[in-house]
Amino acid sequence: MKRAAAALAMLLTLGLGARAQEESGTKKLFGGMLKKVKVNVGGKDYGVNERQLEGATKTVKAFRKSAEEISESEERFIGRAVAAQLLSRYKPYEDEALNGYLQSVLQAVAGVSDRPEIGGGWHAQALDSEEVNAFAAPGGFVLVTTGLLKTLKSEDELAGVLAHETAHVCLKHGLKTIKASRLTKAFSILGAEAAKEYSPSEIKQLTEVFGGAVDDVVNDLVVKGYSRDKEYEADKAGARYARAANYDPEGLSRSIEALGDVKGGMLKTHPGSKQRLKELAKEPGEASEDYQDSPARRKRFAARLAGL
Amino acid sequence: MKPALLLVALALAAGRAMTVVVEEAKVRKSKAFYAPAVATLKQGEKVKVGEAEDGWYRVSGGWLHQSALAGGKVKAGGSKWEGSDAAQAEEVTLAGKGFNEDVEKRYKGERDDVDFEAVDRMEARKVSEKELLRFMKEGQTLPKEAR
Repeated sequence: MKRAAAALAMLLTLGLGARAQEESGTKKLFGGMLKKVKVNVGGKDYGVNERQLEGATKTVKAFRKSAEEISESEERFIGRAVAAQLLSRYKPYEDEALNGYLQSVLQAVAGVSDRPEIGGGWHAQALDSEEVNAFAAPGGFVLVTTGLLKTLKSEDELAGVLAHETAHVCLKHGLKTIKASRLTKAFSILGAEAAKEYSPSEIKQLTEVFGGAVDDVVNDLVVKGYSRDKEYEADKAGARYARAANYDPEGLSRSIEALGDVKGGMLKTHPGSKQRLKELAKEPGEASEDYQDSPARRKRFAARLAGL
Repeated sequence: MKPALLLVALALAAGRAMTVVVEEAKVRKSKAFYAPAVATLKQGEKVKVGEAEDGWYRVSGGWLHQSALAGGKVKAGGSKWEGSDAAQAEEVTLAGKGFNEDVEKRYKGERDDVDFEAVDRMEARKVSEKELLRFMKEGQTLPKEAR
């Protein structure tokens, strides 16, 4: 009994899911009437009394458990490492006029997103690659290949692409790909006390967990791709952001259409264009009252991308 | 919500201290990212917030977006930052724990497939408020009210 409760407390502490069900009837324990509950840990049922369960639950609250509880600054460091891997794999495209242009459009779109304020701010970067692809690393790092930029015909389409990537960050899709076991390990090393100093062996373990977490995100971004649902979700939120930023509400759809004939790259990691457009059409949005077509926008788009 | 309950909720919310979790956050004159900044708050600073509207909290001198704060609730579809756990996570990392510079430094030393210099250059890229306003004005995406 004691062992079962200890195991339960430990598992709960580590944030692993445990289900507690109330059992009919009560049992006299510790001199009082305490309701007995059935707790399911790892598929096995254990009987515990309410007081034990309450204690275990309190311990849980002292610890972080999920990707949602990765702090803003931790998200930035995970994002920096993810971006560092992408920038090593793809190489940055060094054209400050183009990068500055991407940065402006990104800031305009992210400013009306769900996270206008983010860790160290939003940052855009072109990647020197013919592969048609775009990535969003946690913490607000948005990277687009020159291959993808070449498929775009307007700033409104570019805004759609950047808004889609912004949405992945706002929705914490990258962080959510980190294996729960890694977070459990990291959070158990860190504990909840801000004052606790960690030992060299703990920082070594923490770095290992960090590296694993970064690899989880990169693997989903580059190799596996997010789930279809996450892509549709990012399309819908992205379209909402682009509209709110007074861009053409059809910009994102058109950029997806343009991907239709492209092979490899983004299409390895994204659902097919037809399916994305179909899903996106389920939530049509009106153009913002302030939206207007603009010759100046067309002109600067052509000028900034002319060098590609 | 009943008016009485609403008043209670407002009273509870008024004067609640929240922590700034982003490196730098702007207090703005109105609830828009392009509105003039009236103050800059730094990571770790506590700020008293009043009522929330459209994702913005009323603070002394203007409005602060909830995404700058721990415990700030992000609207539907956005990520969740509710309750004390998130605030506690920030407290721990603000105290120099968690995934931080030390961990990055060690990680960087162990890998040869990372380019942190390029990341630093990327992070240094920022369009100033003035430039962004000009950019939006030129491209005719700045809302009419702000033109």
